[in-house]
Amino acid sequence: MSEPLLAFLYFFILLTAVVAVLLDDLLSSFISLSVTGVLMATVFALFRAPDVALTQAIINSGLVTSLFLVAYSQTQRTPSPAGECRECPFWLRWPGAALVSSLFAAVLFRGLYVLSGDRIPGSTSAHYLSQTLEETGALNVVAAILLDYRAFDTLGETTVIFTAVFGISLLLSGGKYVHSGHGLSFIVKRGMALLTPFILLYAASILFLGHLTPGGGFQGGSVFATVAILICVVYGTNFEAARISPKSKETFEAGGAMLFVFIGLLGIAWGGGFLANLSGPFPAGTPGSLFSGGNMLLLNLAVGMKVGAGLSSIFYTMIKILELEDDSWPS
Amino acid sequence: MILAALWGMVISGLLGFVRVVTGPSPADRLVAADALSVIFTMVLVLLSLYIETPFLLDVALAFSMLSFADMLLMAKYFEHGELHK
Amino acid sequence: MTPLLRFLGGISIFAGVFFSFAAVVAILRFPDVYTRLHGGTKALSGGAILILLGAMPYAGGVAGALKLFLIAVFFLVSNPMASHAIARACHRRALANRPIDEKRRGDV
Repeated sequence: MSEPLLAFLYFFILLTAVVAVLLDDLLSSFISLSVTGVLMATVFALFRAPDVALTQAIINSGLVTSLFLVAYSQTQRTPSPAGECRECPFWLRWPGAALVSSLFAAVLFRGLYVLSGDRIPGSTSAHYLSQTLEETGALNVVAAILLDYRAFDTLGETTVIFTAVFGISLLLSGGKYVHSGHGLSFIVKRGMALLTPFILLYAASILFLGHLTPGGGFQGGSVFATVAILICVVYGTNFEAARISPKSKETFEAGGAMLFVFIGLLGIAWGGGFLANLSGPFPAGTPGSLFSGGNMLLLNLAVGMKVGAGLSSIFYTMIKILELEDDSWPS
Repeated sequence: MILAALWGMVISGLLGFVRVVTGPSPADRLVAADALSVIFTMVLVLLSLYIETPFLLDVALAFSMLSFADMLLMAKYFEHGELHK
Repeated sequence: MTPLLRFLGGISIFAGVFFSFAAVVAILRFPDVYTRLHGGTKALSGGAILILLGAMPYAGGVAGALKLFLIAVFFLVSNPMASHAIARACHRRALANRPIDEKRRGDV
């Protein structure tokens, strides 16, 4: 690992973050923050963590942008009257930002330096690295930790997403789609028609091969959600609502959550614990093939269905709120 | 040798970021952010060769797809002011 | 055969880095949004494809080389499309229809 390159990337991340704070326009700050996200994915890749880099790249580029823009387009920007604004005085902005970010960077440097030392033999991470293939049958250690050793935490994560989608749908329901056929230009529409099958195929490969290569259910599901959002953006809501109805999204989301719990209950029925993998009815298979790792394939599918349908439901619910006829909130 | 190419791309990235800082309108910043995402996809590819981790090519492919989606979303927002028109 | 391929790949990578640098210089120095977009995306697409094709002898085995080729094909299709979308958005909203900075007119 090249130390000067890492130091330069750290400096670059700090620079983009400080610039994002100091720019006036909110949209320009957001563009700078998306550059920060790109750089963070590169730093994760430099640390040989492809799963984390993949997740950072997917979430930061696709979903954060779309959800932020939908939220931002619903706000009104009225200029604050002069004299009533109590923002930070100018002489404090630059030095203050530099000081806070330097302190934070010093803490991070120290922490990462400690973490990247030798692995302590006999610790949990050493056990995971050496015993994963025998105990779970999967090649990807991160996927094994997420779906076998700590599968209960993954169930908690899907519950969190489910609750978020539920809350947003409850708060913002009642609007109707105004069907519009604008979308982007003809070139982009034909180009997207050419590219979409391949993007979807790649998303499916990230999802289903999650126990072998970096990726998994969450990343694959997020790419599916991004493609659904992109279809709405490029072709207009007229096209999209006819193809993927909101009812089918809700069905997929609930189906994914129930599949996850059902697989866990199968483990109990077999005599192992909840979400038991190899001590349940699931075969280990030959390492490196598609049908290996026990129930990881099905769990990846469940998490992918849940996350993909849930995240695109959030987007569509927030779009619906824009179509209210008058200014009254739905009761 | 690949390290020299890596440094070249990262320095280009820093220079491209100058346009994100200065550019007078958000459209200039968006053009520079588009270029930066392509440059850093290439940085990811070169990193996968430099530290010999072939899985980073998957990350580079996914990132190129998602940054393309990001640019389309921002372009739609600039054109219509909303994402759903 | 392989050292020759790696040598050609190295030349291609350096040419790609040069073109990317030229694209960034275009984004910095050109006076208007449209010219910045034009110079930046054309040179950057070419540079990215040169880097990807030059990296193919260095990737381990056929699988890595095929993946690099896939990324190159995806760039060839998608990057011009994204630039077209940005340019059309700028044109539709007249975001950049302001007079070119007069004191930098001959400066390109």
